[in-house]
Amino acid sequence: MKYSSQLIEKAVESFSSLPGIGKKSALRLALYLLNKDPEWVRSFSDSFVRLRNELKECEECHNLGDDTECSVCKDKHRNQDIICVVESIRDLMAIEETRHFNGLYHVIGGLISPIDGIGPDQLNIDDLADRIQKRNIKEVVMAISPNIEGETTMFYLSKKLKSLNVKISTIARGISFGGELEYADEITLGRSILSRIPYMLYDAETSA
Amino acid sequence: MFLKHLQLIRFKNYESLEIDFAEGIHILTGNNGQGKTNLLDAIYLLCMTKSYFQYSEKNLILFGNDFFRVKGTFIKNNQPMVIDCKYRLHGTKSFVKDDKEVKKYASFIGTLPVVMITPADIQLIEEGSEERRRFLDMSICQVENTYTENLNKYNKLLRQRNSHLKTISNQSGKKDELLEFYDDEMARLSVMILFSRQKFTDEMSGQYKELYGILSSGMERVKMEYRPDCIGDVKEFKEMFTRNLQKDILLERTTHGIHRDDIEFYIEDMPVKRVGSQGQIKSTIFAAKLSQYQWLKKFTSTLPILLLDDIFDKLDHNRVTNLLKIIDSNIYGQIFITDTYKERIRSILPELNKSFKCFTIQQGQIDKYE
Ligand SMILES: Nc1ncnc2c1ncn2[C@@H]1O[C@H](COP(=O)(O)OP(=O)(O)OP(=O)(O)O)[C@@H](O)[C@H]1O
Ligand SMILES: [Mg+2]
Ligand SMILES: [Zn+2]
Repeated sequence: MKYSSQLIEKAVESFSSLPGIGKKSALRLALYLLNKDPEWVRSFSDSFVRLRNELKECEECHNLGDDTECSVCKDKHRNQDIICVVESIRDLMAIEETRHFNGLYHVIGGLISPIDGIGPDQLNIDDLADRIQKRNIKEVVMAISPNIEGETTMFYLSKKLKSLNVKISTIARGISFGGELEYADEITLGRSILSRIPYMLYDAETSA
Repeated sequence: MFLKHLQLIRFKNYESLEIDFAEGIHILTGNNGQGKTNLLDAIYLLCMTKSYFQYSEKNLILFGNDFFRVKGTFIKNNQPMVIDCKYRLHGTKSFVKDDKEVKKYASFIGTLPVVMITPADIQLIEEGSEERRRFLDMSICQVENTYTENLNKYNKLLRQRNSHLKTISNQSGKKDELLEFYDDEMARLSVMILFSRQKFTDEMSGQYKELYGILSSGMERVKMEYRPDCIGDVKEFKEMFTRNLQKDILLERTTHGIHRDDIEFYIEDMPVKRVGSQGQIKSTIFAAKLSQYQWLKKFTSTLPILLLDDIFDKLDHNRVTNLLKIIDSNIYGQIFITDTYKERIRSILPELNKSFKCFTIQQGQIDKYE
C-alpha cells in the first residue's frame, strides 16, 4: 500500500511489527490515534517507553516491579517462611490470581533445556540457594510444569537444595493441569497449591 | 473394520475425489505416477495420523495450494467412525474423530489398525537399523498407548542428553545432576520399551517363519531375531550409561541404548541383508509385514486394513500367487492392492475365492469398472 505521508507509513510499520497485527489493522490504529487528543497520545506512548525503561527486576526474587524490591517482597504480611519457585513471571501471576498462596516467590527465568542452550547457569538457581539460607526459609514449593524440561529442572533444584535444611514440595498434579501452568484454570491451580506434596527424588534402585 | 467412504481434497495429485469402498479386496491399477501410492498413503494417514513416508504435512498439499483435507468414514463394530484430517499451510493440523479433535495421537493410534507394504520398504532390509526400529515401533504403538508415550519421552530425553553432552568437557567421568536425571529416566523407560519390543518379536517370529515358508513354497529356512543393543533392568541400564559416559562425552552423543536396537532377518542362518536376492528380500518384507498384520489382528481384536502397493515389484509370478493365496486363505479384512498392469493382476485373481472390486486410477481420478 502507498501512504500519503511517511509519518503514517512509519506508524503503520511500528504497529504491524507487533505480534498478531497485520498491515490493515495497523493502519486503522494509526488513523485512530490521529483523532485523539495530542496529550492523550503522548501519555499513551509514554507508558511503553516508561515500561521499557523503568520496570525493574526484583533483586530478591526476579519478579518485575517498579522497584528493585517488588510488591510481593515488600509485603511483610506474607508468609516469610515459604518460597514458591516458578519458571516465569506469567506463572507467578497465574498463581497470584488464585489467591491461594501467601508466601514468597522465586522466578528462575526458564527451564533446563540443553537443546535450547539453557543449562542451570542460565537460570536464577544459585541465588535461590543463597536466599534460602540467608532468610532461613522453611519450605520450597516447586510450581513447575511437569514436562521433561520441568522435571529436569525440579530434579536439579532438589539436588541443589538437598543439603540445605528446607522442605521441598511440588504442587499436586493428580488433577490435570494441562501441562502448562499458565493455562491451568484458577480453581484447579489454587487447589493444587494448597495440596502440595513432598518432592521425592526418584530412586531407580528401589522401584526397579 | 473397513473404510467405506473416502474424500480427498487437494491431497497430493488429487484435486478432489470422493469414492466408496466396501469390505474385501480392492484392485487399483494405473500407470506410473497416477496416484496409486498417494491414495494408499491417504488411507494410512487417517489410521496413523501421519503419512507413511514421513513426509511433513506441507508436502502432502497439492502443488500450488495452501491446504489439504482427507476425510474417511470407517465402519468399526458396525458403527460408523468419521476421521477428518485437515492441514493448512503455516497453520496447524487438525485431526478430528467423530467431530471431536483428537488431542493425544498416541491414544488414537491403533483404533484403526493398518499395515502398509510398499516398494520403499526395501529400506527395512537395506538401510540402517532406524528403519527396522520404525517397524517395531509402528507395530507396537498400535497396540500399546503407553509404548508411544514412553518412546516419545525417551526420544526427547535422548535429544536433551545429547545436547547436554556437547557442553560437558569433564574428564573425571563423574555424572553431573543433569546426566543423573537423564540416565535415571531413560533407564526406567528403556526397560519398558525393551520389554514391549521383546514381547512383540517373540510373538510374531513363529508367524514370520510360517508365512515366509508359504511365500517361498517352503524352499528356504528363515528366522527373525530381535537384537537389543543392551538388555537388563533399570539398574543395569543405568550402569550401561555410566560405563559409556567417557565415550559419550568424547563423541558428544549417547552411544548405546534402546535407540540402537535392531532386528536381523536370516535365510539359512545368513543375514538376508548380506546374502538375500532381491526377491528374497522382498519375501522377507512381505513375511514380516504379514506377520505384523496377524499380530495386530490378535492384539487389537480388529481386522486391520491391508495396503499392498505394487505387489509385483520384484516378486516372481509364483510368489505373487502364493502371496494372494495367503491372503485368500486366511482371514484378512479390507485390502487394497495396486499394480501398474491391469491384465497381469487380473490373470491371477480368478484363482481366488474372495470377491474383489476393480478400479483404475488416472491423474488423480478413480473409475470403478465392472
Ligand atoms: N504435493 C503434490 N502435489 C501434486 N502432485 C504431487 C504431489 N506430490 C506428488 N505428486 C505427484 O503424484 C504423482 C505420484 O503419485 P503416486 O506416487 O501415487 O504414483 P503411482 O500411481 O503410485 O505411480 P507408480 O506406479 O510409479 O508407483 C506424481 O506424478 C507426482 O508428481
Ligand atoms: Mg506407486
Ligand atoms: Zn521480589
